[in-house]
Formats: sequence, C-alpha cells, structure tokens
Amino acid sequence: MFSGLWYSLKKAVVQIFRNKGMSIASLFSITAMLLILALFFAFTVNVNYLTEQVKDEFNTIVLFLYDDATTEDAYKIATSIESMEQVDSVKYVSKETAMEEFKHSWGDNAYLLDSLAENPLPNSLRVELADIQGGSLVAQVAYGFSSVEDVRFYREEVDKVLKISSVIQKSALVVIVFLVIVSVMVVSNTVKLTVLARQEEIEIMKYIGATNWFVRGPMFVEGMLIGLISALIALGIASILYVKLEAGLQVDMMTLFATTLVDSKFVIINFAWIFVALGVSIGACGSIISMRKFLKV
Amino acid sequence: MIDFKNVTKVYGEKVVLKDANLHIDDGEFVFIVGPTGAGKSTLIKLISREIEPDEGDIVVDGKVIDDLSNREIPPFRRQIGMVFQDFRLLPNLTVSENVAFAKEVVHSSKKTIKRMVPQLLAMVDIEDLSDKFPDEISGGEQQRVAIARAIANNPKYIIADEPTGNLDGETAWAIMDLLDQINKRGTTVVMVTHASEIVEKMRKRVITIQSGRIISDVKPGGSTDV
Ligand SMILES: Nc1ncnc2c1ncn2[C@@H]1O[C@H](COP(=O)(O)OP(=O)(O)O)[C@@H](O)[C@H]1O
Ligand SMILES: [Mg+2]
Repeated sequence: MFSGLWYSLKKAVVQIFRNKGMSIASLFSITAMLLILALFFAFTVNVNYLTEQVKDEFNTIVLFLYDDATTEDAYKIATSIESMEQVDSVKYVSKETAMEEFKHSWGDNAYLLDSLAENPLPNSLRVELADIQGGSLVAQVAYGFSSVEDVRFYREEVDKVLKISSVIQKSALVVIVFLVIVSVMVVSNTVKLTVLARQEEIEIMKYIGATNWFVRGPMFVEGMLIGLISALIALGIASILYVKLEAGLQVDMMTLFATTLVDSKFVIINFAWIFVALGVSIGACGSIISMRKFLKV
Repeated sequence: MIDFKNVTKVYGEKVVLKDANLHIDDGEFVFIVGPTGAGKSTLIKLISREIEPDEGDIVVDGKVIDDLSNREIPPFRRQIGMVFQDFRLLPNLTVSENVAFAKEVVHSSKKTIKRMVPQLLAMVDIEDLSDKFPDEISGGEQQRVAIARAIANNPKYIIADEPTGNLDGETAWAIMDLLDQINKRGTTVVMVTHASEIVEKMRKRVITIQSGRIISDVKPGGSTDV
C-alpha cells in the first residue's frame, strides 16, 4: 500500500513536469478560483466583524433619571432591570461621574466646561444588553418607572445595521457557493482535457495488463498535487494582498468605524485550511470524475 | 493453447466474424492474412479480451476467457505481449521507462527492473536509445521498443497486429527476425500481416480470413485443413 502510494507520488511529479501545459492550465484555473473566493471570504468576515463591533457599541441603553430620584430609587430600578434575561449588567453613573467622562472626551478643551455654573448632566443607569434585540422591551419596562425621565437607545440604527449585514452575508454566501460550483466545473473540465489527451495512454496501459487503480493512482495523486500547489500559490498571493490592505486601510477604517480590519493572522489561517481543503478536493474529484469513463477498456 | 469454438462477432447488423473455429498450439508461429476489413484485427481483439464474442467460446489455456471477471482481466493480459502497427508507446515516457512500465505493472522490484530493462533493450538492439522519447526515434526503433515491452514479462503469447505495416522492407525483415527468435525460445506468436512476401519467405502456418470467414489454414508442411 505504502509503496503503491510512493510509486503514484513519483509518477505524478514526473507527469506534472512533462505535461507542463495542462498542469499550468489546471493550476491557473484553481488558483484564480481560490483567489476570487478569498476576496469574498475576506469581505464577509470583515462585514461580520464590523457588525459585531457596531452591536457592541449599540449594546448599551442609557436610562436618564430625574434629579429628584434618590439613590435608593435608582438601586430599585437597577435590580429589577438587571433581573431581565435580555440584560447583561446595569451600572449606576452619577452626574459627577458623567461630567468627568464628558470632560475627558473633550480632552484639551475640557477647561471650557469649567465655566458651567451647574452640572447639567443627569444621574443615569447604563444597561448592557445581553441580547441586542431585547432593547425595545427593556426601554418599555424602564419607562414604567416614574423616576426615569428618558431612555436613549439606538433601535433604528441597530436594526438598519443588522439588516444590511444580513443581506451582505446572505449574498456573499450565495456568491461563494456559486464560485465553488463554477470552480469544480472549470477544474473537472481542465482535468478532462488532460485525461482526453491521455485516453490513448490509458488504453495502452490497460493492454499491458495494468489494473484500474494502477492507472488511476498516479493521476489521482497528480490532481491532488496540482490542487495543493494551487492552494499554496493562492494562499501566498491572498495573504500578501490582505496584509497590504490591512495596513493601507488602517487609518481610514479607524476614523470611519473606530475599528480596523479583521486581524490578518486570523484571516490567513482560515485562508490556509479553506484553500488546502478545497484545492486538494477539487483536484482529486476532478481527476476521479473525468477518468471514470476511460477506464472501461 | 488458444481455441476458437464457433465464434461469431457482430457489430450492429454486420457479421464481422462468422462461426470461426481455430486451434493454436503452444510454441506455434501463425500468420493471419486477408484483405482489409476481413476481420483480422477483430480476431486479435477477441484473443486479448478487448471485445467479447456474441456466440461461441474462446479458450486460452483451458479457460473460457469470456467468463473472466474485471479483476481477472489484467493478470490475463500480462501473459500476452501485444505489438501494434502504430507501436503504441507511452509518449511521455522514455524508451527505458516504456519497457520498465510493463514490469512495474506486474509489481517487479526496482532491482529487477533495473537489471532487466537494459537486457531487454539489448535483445532488440537499442540499448543506446534508452533515454530517448518515442518521437525522437525512427519507426523501426519504436517497434523494437514495443517488442521489448511485449516480452518484458516473459509472456506465453505474442500477438502482433501488422507489426511491419508502417516499416520499410529492410526494417520489416529485422522485426521479423526478432519475432522469429522470440518464437524459437518457446513463445507462441500470432501475427496479422498484409505482406505476402514475408508470409512466403517465413514458411509458417498461414490462416486466411475473408469477409469474416476462415477460408484456409495452411500448415508449414503444406497440408490444408479447414
Ligand atoms: N468497433 C466497431 N464497430 C463497428 N464496426 C467495426 C468495429 N470494429 C471493426 N468493425 C468492422 O468490422 C470489420 C472487420 O474489421 P477488422 O477486424 O478491423 O478488419 P481487418 O481485417 O482489416 O483488421 C470491418 O468492416 C470494420 O469496419
Ligand atoms: Mg486490422
């Protein structure tokens, strides 16, 4: 068994070099397909990531309290809101703390706030949601307390982001499935051409008394090897491009979305296993499918 | 031993071989002659189990070969060395790799292959061409490679379909010499040919086919029995 595998591997390598034209054609088509796939994968992963960031950002509901509400009132509200299953945690922020934070966000210009005679900010409760969809329910409950003056949350914004990202995810999935199908077709056609060119060769092998597996083995390994090499080429190109893109977009992304692209290490690791798995199986399937009908001599 | 027992082969409406009876003993040298389209290649393909008869049985060494399962066909073919008019070498393999391939198919050890291939090439007088590819050598040389490959596994039978058909007279005779030598060492040779000159000079058994029928079978002694 092992010597059979070794034999196939050696034959496959020799054949790949001697059939340069066909090998390069298969190599090129698999690599191209994997790269297009990489583009959509990277896009989807980043949209997901951005959505998560946005969700986190909008995960907070702020309940503003009337000035005459006591800390005890605030505590009561906090306990009952915190017991809701949609809620992760509730934090009391006094008007003084709020002012501190406000000043902090003004940075060097904070001194301008010193002239305020009185702190205009209200005491508040910051509610971290466990489930972003539960926002409106929590708001509704909060309005029921007489000490709650106002509730601020980002229902519409969140809904919009979720809707857009779900549309993007779904269409990317459709495109990826479509691409995989197309690439299997393209590759199996390329391999079919290779096998067609070898039809005579296969016949001769059968005349000499070769078993089907003796003929198939090296071609099978050859398909997998071409798939593997394509995967590695695609991985190299995609990784370099992604790292470049990540560096190039860093500043723009930061100002626009207050975040960066998904970490290149994560993306590249995923590229690696997706490409290798897909490339090898496309190569193997391609050669098996296209060889079947020629082995009946 | 090869026996045809009332063998008929039909392609669609066309009867290509009709009720053929034939007995070839071990060690014989047999020519199969007849006009183009007579059914000579069909007869050969029946022996190598490339096609199956519609009626009758073909028996090789006591075994009805129509009954061979798919698993049994490769081992069966290994005891038949095939030689064709168009040589049928593997174009991507060198001369020595082409010969080695036949030995790889029967899982010979690397050592055996390394030792045997030069010997085989020497037997057909082309040891100096071992690293050439088929398209770099002449027709006669290609046919020598094909013969070396055919005898690589020391087969019981050599079946040759017009092996000299693409070769000039002198080259053809060199190939005939080789086949004769192989036969003298005990291998049964069945050879289809058009070349009447070769058939006359070789003085071997001659089976004539016309329109799918065996019309004569002349043994070297001169007796005719059909
Ligand atoms: N696969 C096939 N399908 C249909 N007809 C065939 C096939 N192979 C051979 N024939 C026909 O059978 C007849 C005999 O062919 P063949 O045995 O090749 O003749 P030859 O004596 O020239 O070698 C020819 O008329 C040929 O057209
Ligand atoms: Mg013929």
